[in-house]
Amino acid sequence: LQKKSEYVIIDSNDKEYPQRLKEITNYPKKLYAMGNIELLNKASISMVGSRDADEYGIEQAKRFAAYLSQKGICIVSGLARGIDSISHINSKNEIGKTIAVIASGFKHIYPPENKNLFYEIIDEGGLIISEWEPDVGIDMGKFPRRNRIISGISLGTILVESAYRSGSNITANYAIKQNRELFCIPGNIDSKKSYGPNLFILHGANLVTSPRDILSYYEYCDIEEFANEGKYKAKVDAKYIDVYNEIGDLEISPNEIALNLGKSIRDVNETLFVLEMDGFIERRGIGKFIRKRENEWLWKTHIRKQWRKNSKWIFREKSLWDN
Amino acid sequence: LLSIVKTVSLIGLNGYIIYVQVDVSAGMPAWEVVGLPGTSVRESKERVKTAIKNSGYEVFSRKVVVNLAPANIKKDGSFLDLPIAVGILSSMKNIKKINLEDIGFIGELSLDGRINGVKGVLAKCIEAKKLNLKTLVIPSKNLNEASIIKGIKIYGADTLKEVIDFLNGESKLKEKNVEWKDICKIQDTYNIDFSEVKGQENAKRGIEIATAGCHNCLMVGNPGTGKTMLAKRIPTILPNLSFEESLEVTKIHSVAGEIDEENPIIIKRPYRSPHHSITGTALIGGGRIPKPGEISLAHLGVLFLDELPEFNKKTLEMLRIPLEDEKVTISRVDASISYPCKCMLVASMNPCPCGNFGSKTKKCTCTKRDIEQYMNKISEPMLDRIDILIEVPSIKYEKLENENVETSEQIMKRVERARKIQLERYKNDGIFFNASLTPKLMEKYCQLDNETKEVMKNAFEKMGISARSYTRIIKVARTIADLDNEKNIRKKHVIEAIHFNQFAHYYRR
Repeated sequence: LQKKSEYVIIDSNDKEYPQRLKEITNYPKKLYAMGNIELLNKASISMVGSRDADEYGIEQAKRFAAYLSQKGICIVSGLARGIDSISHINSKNEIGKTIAVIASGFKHIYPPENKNLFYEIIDEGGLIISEWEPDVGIDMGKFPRRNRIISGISLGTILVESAYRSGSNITANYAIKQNRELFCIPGNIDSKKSYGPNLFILHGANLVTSPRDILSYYEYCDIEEFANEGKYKAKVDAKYIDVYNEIGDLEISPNEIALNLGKSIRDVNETLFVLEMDGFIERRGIGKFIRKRENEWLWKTHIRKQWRKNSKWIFREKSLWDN
Repeated sequence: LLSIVKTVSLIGLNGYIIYVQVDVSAGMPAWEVVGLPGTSVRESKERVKTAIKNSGYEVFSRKVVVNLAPANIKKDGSFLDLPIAVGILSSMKNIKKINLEDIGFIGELSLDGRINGVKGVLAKCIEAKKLNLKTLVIPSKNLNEASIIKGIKIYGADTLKEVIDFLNGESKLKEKNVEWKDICKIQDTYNIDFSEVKGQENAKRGIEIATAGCHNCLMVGNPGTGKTMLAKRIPTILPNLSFEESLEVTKIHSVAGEIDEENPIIIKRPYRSPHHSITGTALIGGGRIPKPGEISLAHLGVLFLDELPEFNKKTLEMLRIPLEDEKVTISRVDASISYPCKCMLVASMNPCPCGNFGSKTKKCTCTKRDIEQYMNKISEPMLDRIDILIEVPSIKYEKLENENVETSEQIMKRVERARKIQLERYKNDGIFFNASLTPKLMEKYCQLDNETKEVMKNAFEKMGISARSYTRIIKVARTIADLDNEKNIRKKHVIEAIHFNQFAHYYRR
């Protein structure tokens, strides 16, 4: 372990070196790190996805990153635009913190708009790592190489959105080759950006619909705990129940609520504010409201274990994913 | 022989007297105009000469020298034709009764001796009154707009001959007397009304608050949800212009040459909606001789900027200082001119470049970066000047049928009362409306009780409201309390103010 003024160099023989990363064939001999290096050997999940993410992808990335890091899992990603940035931003302040693996030296931050994020991650107790010396510049070839570290350092990889021939598919592919878990968030079959996750699911990757699926997969959280979570749900005050009942799973605007109930717009707005503050509803789109997601559907743990075995077998047999 | 004739000219909106000094003497026939004349004044030579000849007077071959005092200010405009002609005829003793002390002349001559209309007559008449002129002769085409002014005798003339006969006491000139009440009667009604907008109660409430406190507001919504329709109806809920305000507005429009000949006095609140291809100078005013821009033409009314992010970024940034100072100061080599621009800014925009973000029926094809870039076109300092954000969601067709809709008149009554309360409260503080509250005044007039503070604190933590939103929320809450005719800001007022302040929802920075 070599200490420099700003960063540390971690040799592969050091005990700080991430032990999971050593399991892969071409692990880097040296790692340059800035920030909290204790994160390297903690339980971590990587999140990758499209740089040009759309509304759905952003929503899901936020939800997964925030929930998992609240439960103490470190989120690993690549400091790129889109899903990567969203994952970092939503996990950097939580218990789990975040690791960014960059494809160039510390003196060359890419993309430039994430320069602030780079330093915020360090300040909030996160970590930045790179296999390159600080002076090494940006180079297209280094990005796919960097992806093997993202998947290798973490227990599993979540693929949020990726188009055909996206860089995220490379990471997902590495995850399979390195014997790590691949979780895919299914997308709309009409959308170009659903191509990657949906195809991986087709070939046996794990389909996840909730961040809890991932926790239960690793038996990281007690299943009982999940079951109890719903039982202590707060109840909506009787004063506000009529407005709450108007808001369903479909978006609705205050105008429509006021019209349906025959109330004045002022009263409706006031009630919506109270409900939003108490966490019963949330804002969507333009001036519309929706009920907050209730208890999430759970997959039973033993079914997931069955899946795990099957999926690996499929990927080993078919070398579909050599880009 | 020397004669001196007076006329009135403007620098910006302020007037000054030009003494047209004409000397006709024996010598080589010549015509000199001195005292920094512009091109149109230089050209007056031929117009004046021919007009005098065609009016039936003889033009001798003499040396004519015209001086325009004060000689250090550049003069431009064709309104100097008439005073020059009167000066020459007076020097040539065609006018017997020479007492031109208290009388001013404004008018452009055509070759046959007729007098054409000119720009800015109303402003010149108001200034002439201030400068203690007793009589003013103007083109009869402009008589309509000028006749509202009392305390100065205003005559309209059709030809040069008429003017000379009048000065000789041989005939009379046209006079007109218009009362303020009569004008109000003629153009009292709008042909649009708020009751025509269906199903957007939330947006209407937001606009009501904005107009009551003169807050700048921004409407965000999908295409076709009625943003422009709502904005067009804002003047209908604004209180009517008073006589003084009406003159102020008409003066600016008169200087810009934007006066309607039939109804020259503006009694409705102006509503300006420039297209987004507008240049900076057209928006805030400018030119070699600075003219008022759209923001000044919207003085005491509404400036509506449709599709705000489509405007040139530099153009928008130019609005920053005028919106704060409530006046535009334009400096050119010749002069530095101020125009007032106390207007309410109303802007509208789509939530993303394709316009369908958040729509239930159509799919948005924009990526996160597209949306960010679109939002970034409006800078943060610009956003700071906007107090109210109104969301205009799309509505279903069957919701459009609804009987109990408020008319503009009902809303206007509430707005008028709230505005009166504010004018009463701030009469010693040098501001008019809640929108211009300073931090110091806020401490004085906007005290929150403990319950309200608690709500604010919770909202800050849970909704991610930024510190800079705090003052905006307090200002708007003050206006809502005024609409309710309550002395103190209460919990419900703050809650509603927060509802109209969801900037964080669109601008995550």
